[in-house]
Amino acid sequence: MKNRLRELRADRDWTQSDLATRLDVSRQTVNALEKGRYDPSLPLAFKIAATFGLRIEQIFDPED
Amino acid sequence: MPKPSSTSPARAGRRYLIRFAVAMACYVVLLPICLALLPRVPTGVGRYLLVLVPVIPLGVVGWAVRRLLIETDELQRRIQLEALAVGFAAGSVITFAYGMLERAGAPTLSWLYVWPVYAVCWLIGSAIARYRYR
Repeated sequence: MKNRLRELRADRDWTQSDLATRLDVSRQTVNALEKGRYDPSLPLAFKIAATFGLRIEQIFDPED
Repeated sequence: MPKPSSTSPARAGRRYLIRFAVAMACYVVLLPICLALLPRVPTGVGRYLLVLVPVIPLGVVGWAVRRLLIETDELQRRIQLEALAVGFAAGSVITFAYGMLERAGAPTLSWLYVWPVYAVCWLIGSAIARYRYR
């Protein structure tokens, strides 16, 4: 699933470690999410949306 | 910028490695000691209990793996479950196959070789899973 995580993270000048800490996940998980190799669970998707102050569909695109 | 808590999933891997290292260090120390003491213990229950002492730290390793699966984040949990699935499947095929080879005349090996076979298969499964989500 495509997403805008890297772009949103860069806009806020956060490293992957910064975002990982905010989401309470490992940096490897953030990396896998950004590369689209892993799709988050619903609770994590909501957490990501809340962290960026956006809706889930503004971050994730189900179209492959 | 918030700091990760001591119980955060991000640090679960580090906690697991510490628990694993301590348990394996105990195993490495206890195994030769128990084997060295074995000739001094008369036949009976005492001998069986003595040789089972090194198994205790291996039980701690199993507990550490369970804690890792509980404490870590969802992707790391998926990676470890995939690694354990591959490790269990591959280890089972290998040990069963060798069991059949023994029936055909291959040298009989001690049961002590079973755990290392499963451990290596688990490591390979872990590497495959990590590569998949790199």
